Amino acid sequence: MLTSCAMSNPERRKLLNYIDEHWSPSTTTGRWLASPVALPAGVVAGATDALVLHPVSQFDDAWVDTVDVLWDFDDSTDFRTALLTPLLALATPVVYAATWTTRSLFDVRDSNSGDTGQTAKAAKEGK
Amino acid sequence: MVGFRLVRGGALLGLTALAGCAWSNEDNRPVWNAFEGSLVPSSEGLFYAALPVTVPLGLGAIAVDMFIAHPLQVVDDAYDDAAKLWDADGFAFAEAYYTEMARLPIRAVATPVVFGGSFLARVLFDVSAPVSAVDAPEDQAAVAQRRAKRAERRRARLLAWLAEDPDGRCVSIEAWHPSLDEPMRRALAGDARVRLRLHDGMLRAGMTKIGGYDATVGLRDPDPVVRYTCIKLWPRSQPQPPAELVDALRNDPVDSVRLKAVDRFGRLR
Repeated sequence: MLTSCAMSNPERRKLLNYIDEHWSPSTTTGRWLASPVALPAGVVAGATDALVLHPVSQFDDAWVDTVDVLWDFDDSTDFRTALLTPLLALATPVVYAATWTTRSLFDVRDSNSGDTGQTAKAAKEGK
Repeated sequence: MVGFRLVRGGALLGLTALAGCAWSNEDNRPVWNAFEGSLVPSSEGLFYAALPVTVPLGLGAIAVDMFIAHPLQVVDDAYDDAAKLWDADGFAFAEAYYTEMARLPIRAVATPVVFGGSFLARVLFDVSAPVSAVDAPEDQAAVAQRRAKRAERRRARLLAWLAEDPDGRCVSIEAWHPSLDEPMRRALAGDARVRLRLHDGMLRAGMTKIGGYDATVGLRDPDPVVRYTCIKLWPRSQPQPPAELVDALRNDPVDSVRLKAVDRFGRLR
């Protein structure tokens, strides 16, 4: 049920979009005839999108979020960095799991993967 | 065990109290309306004498409205809400065949959930009918007919109130009807007691000018008690009487009327 939040965005339904585009019968009669197969096929494709493809596509975005939240030391002193590093190491899997779960369930805007927040920071500083 | 009973009792009480939200709309209490319109005496003496009977009957009418009549009224609206899930316009088989096929089981599961949720919400709260239902000409006619019936019921109560020598509570109406002309004229021409009760009832119901009734007549009444009562009960939601009339009341020969006018309408500028 919750997964439908992410699945409500057509861009999150890669497999369904693919079979809609390539495997759909072109006539109404064809669609009626194909329905006994199409219904389970559609359900399996939707479930694959919701439970496998979309969650997998969020691995990198969740990592970018985690780095942004925890490992951004630009405004920190060396002492504070040294002090916080062990705690941040402990928090990393928790934050990663939470952001990945949120992104898997809900339609959250993609992060700019590989950027680790530098672009957003530059924009904020007017660079 | 005791704790469970307390929680269950509290939940039931809470649900009953919530139903008050739906009950606040007159259209949602048909049994109460019928009871109040035909069985509650309008004259003050009989009204109080009948209270031992009318109070328990009234509570019974409320219970019947809350648990039977109003739920029956909203079953079709909840059905309309659930049926929207299967609206033919909502399907795009030609464009997204497998996506729509995958949605069919979800729609099937959601249908009883939407129906149950809509039914419960409509039973508890005053939710208007689905837009699609009101859009249909026959439903618009049904709504108009229901409103006309309500207006007629209120008019009949006002007519009965006027005919029985106005006393006690009065019902407000939204539109005047020629059948009220003669009883109103008679009441306005009655003795001071009748005039006092007429203005008292009309002003308490928030009416200052409608059809053959004009509350400024009460402010000009030769009897100071009538004038005083009209000043006191002049609804704050309504515009003030004409300036010359207010000035006249501020200079009224009777002290209590003069002081009340200053108190209610302010000092002369």
